[in-house]
Amino acid sequence: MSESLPKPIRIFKDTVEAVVHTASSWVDTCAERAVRDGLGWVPEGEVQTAPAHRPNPTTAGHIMKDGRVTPPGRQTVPTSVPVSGAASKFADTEEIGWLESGRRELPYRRDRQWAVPQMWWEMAFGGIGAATYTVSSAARNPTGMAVGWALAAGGKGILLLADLGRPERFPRVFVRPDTSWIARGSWAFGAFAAGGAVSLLPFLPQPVRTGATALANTGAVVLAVYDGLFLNHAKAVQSWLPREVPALFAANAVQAGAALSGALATTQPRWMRCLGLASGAASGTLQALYIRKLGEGNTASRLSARELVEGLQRDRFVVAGGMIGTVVPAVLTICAPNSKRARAVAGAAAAVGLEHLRRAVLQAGIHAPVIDPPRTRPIGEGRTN
Amino acid sequence: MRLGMLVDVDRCIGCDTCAIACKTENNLPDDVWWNNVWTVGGEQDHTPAKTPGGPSMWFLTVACQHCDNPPCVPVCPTGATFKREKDGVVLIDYDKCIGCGACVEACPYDGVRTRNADVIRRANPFPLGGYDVQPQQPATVSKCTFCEQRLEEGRTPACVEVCPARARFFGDLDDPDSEVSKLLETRESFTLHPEAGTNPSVHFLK
Repeated sequence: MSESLPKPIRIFKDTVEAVVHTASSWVDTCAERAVRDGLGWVPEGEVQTAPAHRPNPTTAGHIMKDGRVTPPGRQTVPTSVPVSGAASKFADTEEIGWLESGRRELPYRRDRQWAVPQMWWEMAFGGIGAATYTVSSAARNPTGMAVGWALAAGGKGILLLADLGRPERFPRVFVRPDTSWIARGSWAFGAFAAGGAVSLLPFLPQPVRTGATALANTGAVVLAVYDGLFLNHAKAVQSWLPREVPALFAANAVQAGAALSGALATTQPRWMRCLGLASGAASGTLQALYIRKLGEGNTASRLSARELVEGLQRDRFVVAGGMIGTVVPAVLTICAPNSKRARAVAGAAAAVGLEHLRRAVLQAGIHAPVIDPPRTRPIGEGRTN
Repeated sequence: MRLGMLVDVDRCIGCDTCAIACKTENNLPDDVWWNNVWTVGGEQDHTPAKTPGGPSMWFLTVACQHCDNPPCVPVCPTGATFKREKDGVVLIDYDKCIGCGACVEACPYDGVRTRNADVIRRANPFPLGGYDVQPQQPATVSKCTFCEQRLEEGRTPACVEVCPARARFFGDLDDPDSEVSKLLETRESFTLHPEAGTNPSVHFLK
């Protein structure tokens, strides 16, 4: 048995990984520049746990807590309190120490398996592509259908393959749709990709295209929610278990799909605007309910809530996912319903929000150890709420 | 028959012999450990915690718990992860595994399984351990098998055989006359993450 993957497979995986990681860090850098230079704001993720070890910002690259490195000379020395000692309404200082102190024994740790760029881009492409296709097909907009199909079938398809350890064994993924949401999603993806491709061929008879569109829409509905559903079955990560996760992903995808369809259409029908507003309201509500549910859970769950609301993912979950992705498109839809430029901005904002929301939920996933570390002080001491 | 293991945490001395024996017997690649020895105490290996009642330290050896209700089995899209009918041992067929990581994310026991690297590396240029052990494959997930190759020969898992403190016991949990069943009846025990509803086959004696 070979001890290494076949070379073409390794080249494929490495190439996709390099492209996706580069694209992700480029997006990060652009967003960071806008935040730092435009707003003069220091992201909390930059705050170091041990000030004595903080590198000199004028001479060294600055390693942020999520692993990103900012170039020398561009850092602002943070003035807020360190993350590990920061007051939190979700976890006490000892619990935060279990995650942040780099302890070797029984650590709480952030997920490394699925919290990778391939995964969140795959989810983003799948969600927005499927929803855009469905909304555009209802609006009889072939451009929107084509863009949605290309995003979901092309973007998600390539990343889905590249994220597998053994892409050459992909046909096996269809074997267990009775129990596995990954298998069910793969069937839905197959239906969407095949049906969507046929529905976009103009030379085929109309009944064939109508049937293919129906098949693609069925697959698209599953594609929009299945990411959340398979996260829901990852029992190792408490923050992915609430029922709000698939609902949030679905509502968020529908909102982004409506916004992107509107941006790609010559006019945006009233029902599409209403759909965007309703799904935006649902998305915002589900975000709040999700955080409330996490805040009532066990240590891992509350540490995830802290990540999303106060910690490293706050900018992505609250600012990008909530404000930019949910509020901005809704405001633009209400204030400038007939402006094509406003619809383009709303579509872009919704897409950014969708990607960041999925990324935040993935990166806030925390694995609990097999048992809690012993407490060095009575429970409740140091709790700030 | 349901094979299971008991670990006496009172006898365990945290020597890591079980972890080394597991790695050797199963010819595991670099950085892959199916059996981990955790110090329940301070933040580093073999350091006690300063608790209100004084220093506290004990050891917990953790590998796959071979659950009766394994959450890793239903999430596997290919059927590569399965529970063997005859003895309840949870195994992975490396030829079917696509390396999606669903079982890693479904398992509530952190660190008991690993997705191998795309290129398997070993410190030793020659194979170690069991002659008929299932060979590791790149980019697939692997975990404790209760040393199935040894079970076929009527032997106990390597970690049980080598434990110098005799802290490990192995046998049929369904057989009321087995050593493990008797120990479970007479000693206090606990399982890991009982709230997950997995009903593990590995019990820890207090």
